[in-house]
Amino acid sequence: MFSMYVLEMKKNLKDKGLIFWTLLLPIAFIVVFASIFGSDTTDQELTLHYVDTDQSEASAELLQEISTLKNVELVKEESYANSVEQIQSGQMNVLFHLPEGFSNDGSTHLYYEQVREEVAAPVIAMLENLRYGLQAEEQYTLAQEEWENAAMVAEFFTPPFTIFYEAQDSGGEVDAITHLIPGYAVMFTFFIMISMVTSFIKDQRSGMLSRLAATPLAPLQYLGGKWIAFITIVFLQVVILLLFGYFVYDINLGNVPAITVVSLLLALTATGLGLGLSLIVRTENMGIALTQVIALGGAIVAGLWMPLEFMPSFIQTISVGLPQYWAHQAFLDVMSRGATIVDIWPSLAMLLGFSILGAFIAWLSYGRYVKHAN
Amino acid sequence: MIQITGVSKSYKNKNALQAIDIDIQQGDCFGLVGPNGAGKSTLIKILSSILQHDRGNITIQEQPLQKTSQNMIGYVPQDICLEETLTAEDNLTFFARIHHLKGKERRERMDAVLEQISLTNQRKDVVSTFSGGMKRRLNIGCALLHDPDVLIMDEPTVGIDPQSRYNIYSLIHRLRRLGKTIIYTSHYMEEVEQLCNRVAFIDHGEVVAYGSLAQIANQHAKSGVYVEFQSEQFDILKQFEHVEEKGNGYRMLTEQPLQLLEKMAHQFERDHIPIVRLEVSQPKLEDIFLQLTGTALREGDAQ
Repeated sequence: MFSMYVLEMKKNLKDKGLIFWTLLLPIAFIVVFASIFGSDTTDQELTLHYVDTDQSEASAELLQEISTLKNVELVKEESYANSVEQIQSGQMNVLFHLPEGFSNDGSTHLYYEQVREEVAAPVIAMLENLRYGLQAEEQYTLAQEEWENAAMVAEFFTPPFTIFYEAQDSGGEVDAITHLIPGYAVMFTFFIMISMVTSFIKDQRSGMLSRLAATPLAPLQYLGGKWIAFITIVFLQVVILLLFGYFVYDINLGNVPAITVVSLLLALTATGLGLGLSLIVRTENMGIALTQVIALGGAIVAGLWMPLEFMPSFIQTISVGLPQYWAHQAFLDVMSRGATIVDIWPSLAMLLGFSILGAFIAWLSYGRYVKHAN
Repeated sequence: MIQITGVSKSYKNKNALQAIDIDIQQGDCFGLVGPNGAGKSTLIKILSSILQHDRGNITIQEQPLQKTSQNMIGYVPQDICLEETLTAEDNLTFFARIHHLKGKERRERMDAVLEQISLTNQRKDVVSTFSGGMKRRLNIGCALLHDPDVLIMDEPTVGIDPQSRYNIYSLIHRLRRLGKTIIYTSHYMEEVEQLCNRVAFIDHGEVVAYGSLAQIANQHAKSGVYVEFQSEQFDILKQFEHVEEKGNGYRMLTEQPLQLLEKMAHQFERDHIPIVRLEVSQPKLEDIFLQLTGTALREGDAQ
């Protein structure tokens, strides 16, 4: 078994394609998506272009109110006509117009490009919020002046319910990158199936399998040697990706024994299923196509790309049947919630179950795999 | 050395081998010949323990063939089964480890094999940089590491240049001198004639001829007379029986070639027919092969 392991490791370490799939591509994904989602979105500013044709005290007051809002930048435009043209040509997102007569009837206009409604949505929400706030404030002042019973005024303007925001400390740090790095690490481990399929089909077609069958090498030694080599590669892949996150993005790895066991079981699962797939498929193309379905489809459904809460309930139900889900949950539990091995045992048991299933399929398929060897 | 008795093998409803009986002596270079799909590869794979036979017995040195016999057998497959991204030494080390060779013994065997296959200076080179002949030699070398008593070679000279072929022939002769038994398949009949002392012809899963080259020639081949004219003169040969085209001339098969030669010489002289060659033609293995297996294309070739 050791000889098979050494051969497979030497072969794979010389394979530039494998290094690309296992390390370079996931690191590129992490860097790109971390730069998109990793920045602090609470500091993002809304830019509101405006034209004040009314030039009244009331319009100045409203603009003053808007300027005091957090993260809103007001940009004055001189020409109303030019600004509307810019919106039509996509050069400006939103224009807030206070027309002549605003001080009399309170009418304003918000211009935005119809096909880019989503860009205007935050500005609309902000202005609506401000409008209701000012209205409530005005009503409160009026009521205080008109109503004699102060208690009644206070009761009338008390909201029906109050929210107290109480964020709980789960013992770790949760940010977008802490979700993103294990997500991509889990997704890309399953691409090892391509290398496994290629390796096993090549052995079958090149005559190597027949040649090995004529030696004292037992089937278990052949399968075991190759499998352990791929487990080693995937384990190293996960470790390198997590360390990349640790050193470059300062992510919290949590309990080291727990994260090590999760990484090992993830490697066992991805390669175990890869082993089963490699011995079932008849052609390399079939193996590559199925790997794409398993790796990419599994990543989407298991919530590696976006939180499961955003997905339909049937997808959430399906995700529980996927190994990617359990691996991702285990990583998040350890890295974000400070879980230990004991805390994540259900995830670990599920991953072990998937790897045993893959190995069992491989063992059942071995006879047919050898039978079709050249 | 190797006794094959009543061995049969079928795939689904197709009989690949039917009651094969062959006895191979120690030190033989035994040729297995037959058209594509005749059953040669199936027999070789059974002897190499890659396939299991359905019926019959195979013994090696009077012991039943089993998985443990694999240390006595070296199998050289028809395909070049090497890891091309690795060096010659890496490939040999892998096969040496499989055969449980360790430490000094492994190093010594690797050195000896590299010497045998004339690749000592290329041991550190990556296999993908090798010529076809060098790969073939390394392919053989991988089967020699554990010093097997029996070497099974499945068309080991396909697609290589004459120099590499000569090198492989020399290696086979050297191995025979060391007392190794070699089972050899090839589609090149002159190769089998040159290397093998005994042959079995297999067709449709059955042995159709078996024995030494001389025995087979006596049993299955007729001598003949070969004639080559300066210009086309086929009409004059119509009076003779068993005339067939051969090369640039014609061959007449006969039990008494000398009498036929004398008769033809007289006739050509009398009729002033110019000839290029007129000689007794000795039967060749290829002639016997075609005589026994026919000239029709087989399924695999026809496709």
